[in-house]
Amino acid sequence: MAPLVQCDRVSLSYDGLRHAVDAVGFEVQAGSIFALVGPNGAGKTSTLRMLATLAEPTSGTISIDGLDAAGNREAVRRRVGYLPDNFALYEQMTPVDYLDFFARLYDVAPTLRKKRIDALLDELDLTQKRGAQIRTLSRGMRQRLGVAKTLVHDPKVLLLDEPASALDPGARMKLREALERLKHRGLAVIISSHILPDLAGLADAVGIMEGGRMIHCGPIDRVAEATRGARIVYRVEVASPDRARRALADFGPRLVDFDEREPGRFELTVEGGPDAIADLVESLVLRGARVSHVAPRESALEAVYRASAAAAVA
Amino acid sequence: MSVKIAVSAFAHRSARRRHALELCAYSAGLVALLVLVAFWIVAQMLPAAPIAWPSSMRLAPAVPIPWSPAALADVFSLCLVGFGLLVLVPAQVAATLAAERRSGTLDQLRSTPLSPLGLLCGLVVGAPVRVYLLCLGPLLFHVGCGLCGVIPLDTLAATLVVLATGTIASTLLAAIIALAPRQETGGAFVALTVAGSLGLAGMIGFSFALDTVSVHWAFLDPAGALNAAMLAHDGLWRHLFVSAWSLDRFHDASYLDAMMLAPLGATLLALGGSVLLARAACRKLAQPHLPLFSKPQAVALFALVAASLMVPVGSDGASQFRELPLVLGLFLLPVAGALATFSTPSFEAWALALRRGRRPRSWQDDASALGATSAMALSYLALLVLKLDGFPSQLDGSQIVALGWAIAVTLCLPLFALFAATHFRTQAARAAFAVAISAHLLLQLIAIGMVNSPPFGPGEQMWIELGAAAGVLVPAWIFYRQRVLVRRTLAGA
Repeated sequence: MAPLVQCDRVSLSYDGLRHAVDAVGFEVQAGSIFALVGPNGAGKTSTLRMLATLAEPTSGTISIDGLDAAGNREAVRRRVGYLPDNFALYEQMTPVDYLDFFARLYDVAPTLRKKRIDALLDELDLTQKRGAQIRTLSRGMRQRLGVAKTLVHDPKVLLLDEPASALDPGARMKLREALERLKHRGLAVIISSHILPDLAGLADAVGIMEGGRMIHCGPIDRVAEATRGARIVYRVEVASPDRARRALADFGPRLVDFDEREPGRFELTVEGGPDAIADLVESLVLRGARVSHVAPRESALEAVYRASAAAAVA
Repeated sequence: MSVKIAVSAFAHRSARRRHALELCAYSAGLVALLVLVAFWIVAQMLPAAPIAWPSSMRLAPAVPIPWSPAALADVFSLCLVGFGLLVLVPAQVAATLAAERRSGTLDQLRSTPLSPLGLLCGLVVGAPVRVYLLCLGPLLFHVGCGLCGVIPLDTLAATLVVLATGTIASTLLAAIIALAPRQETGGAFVALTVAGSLGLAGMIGFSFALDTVSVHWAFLDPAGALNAAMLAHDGLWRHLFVSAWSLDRFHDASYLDAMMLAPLGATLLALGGSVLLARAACRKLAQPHLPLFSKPQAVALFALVAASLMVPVGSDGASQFRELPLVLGLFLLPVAGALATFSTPSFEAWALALRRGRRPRSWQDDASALGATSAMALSYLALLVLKLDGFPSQLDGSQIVALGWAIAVTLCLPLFALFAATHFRTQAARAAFAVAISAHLLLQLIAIGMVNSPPFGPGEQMWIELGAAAGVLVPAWIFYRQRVLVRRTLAGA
């Protein structure tokens, strides 16, 4: 299946000296979520603005649903829903009027308009506030309203720039559920975020950006494979700490470090991916350490990002 | 299609159907109020006995004022419609656009499939729909007055055409002001600026139509053309705005001809200006990183303004006004300055071109406005040659020196604009530089004016020498600093 979004060596420079985006390339399939992660100034927002046809690449090509973005702006915009970072809303309007305004701008048929707005408000849990002024909405509701706006014309590609920033955990969870539903509906979602735990388990692929360049890109597993040296910290709880200490001391070089926070509670830094932690747990069990809890302190995405960032700095 | 969608969406956003009906009702109520006030005033005025001037003080024959409630209500209606469409609507457009720009919602609008023209039409036609609806009643009353014979049909047609084209041009001008780069002011401030500027221009234009000499320039503002159109008809409007002592000017055929031509001139000017302004606004909406005007647009706008100022000048103008080239130049210098400033690239675009190692051609967006300003100066000189018999041969030596000096000052404007755009990041720094350059230009103008009118006394000699020294040193210093920046930019600093 042809990817819905294709970026081929896309660069963007504002002043000819620094590249906001430098030869970035990636592909996103329909029904998948692609996470763009990286520190501030990495080029995530510039990349999304180019995908939304709001900025023109200095070089390279962007193709959306088979259309060249540079030559088919209008058609591409009909296929793309874009939610910018720190987006503004018309404070005096109600959510229904706001969505109706954008539905009109996207030329959604009058018969479909009301139905789609009702469905979106329902899906994003905003029905209760449909008649309230936007200025009275909470941050989470405003964010969900922004997402609803990007969906009002039934796009194939969704571009979300830091959608979860400044949201409380409850609002983040609702946003995450909504994104999962959209993914299953067949949309290609490109999401940039600083909040890696939100993306972990949600994103199918990841692009790690640093200084305008894409330092790693692909399915999370494959990126993890590429950064196989990644050290993952696990939290392990055992009932017999003495036996566990002996088992850990004998485990070998794949256990890079271990820290006993309190008796029976360890933080183990393991190198070598899932195989290494499986072997380590087996060793603990065989030594009779009675393992009661094993969990990574950070997600695979966080580990990959940390390893990539460390490699980039080195 | 995109235009229709945008206008409909913005109009619907501004006033939903029920609200639109309410506004129409308000508008009808406004007309009823105007008619009532007109009836009351006419009832007060009709029985009034004429003032019994002593025969020695009687300067003009007493002319009865043709009072009629319908004509007076029509005067009120037209004034209201003119104010609404030519001042309030542009202010509303500027406020909306500036607010959208500041809050970031303009980017959201730009990410929709609307074409730039569609988006512009939505903002210019759809967004101020409330004011349009409020003006609807008085406008229909004015049309009714024309159809019922209160004013002649040709006057009605002229006023409607001027109102339509004037509104388009004024709103596009407001949109351009709101789209001007590096202004982070809020919508209300921009709206006040637009309303104040257009209101002042309207008053000046309106007064132009009342004078036998300046009537030739009344077409420069739609308010002047409206006034001329209404004055051309011998009705209540003429008697209200022209005193009985001055009514004999209407026997002057050239005055009447100028008034008849004013609506046509205003329409042509508004249409020409609208095309250029709309193209510039669409370009800016599509590519916000570009300068407000492309170089050809800047030159075309300058040529339009210069031609509009000079067309009414008689071919013997130079013999009547020996200072004419400099006087007209004085009006056109701020226009050239503004156009040069708004066609100058941003620092980023300028640096990008520099670092690519290619010298941009003078009409490209990343080039300085020197080529465009030279074309403006040439077009001005060409118009002078075309318009004034014997120009420049009839100028004496000092006038030629003054004209040459003035052109040299004009050609420095792009350098100042590029310096400001590439050196200063903040509003305050730019404002301070603008004040300093304005002072420099004022000194240049004073010195040029003195050179133009010999002989010079010792004091004048000193001012001229001071002006000449500043005229060389200031651009030279700025040129040097710009070269330093070029070196630093190429070095990647």
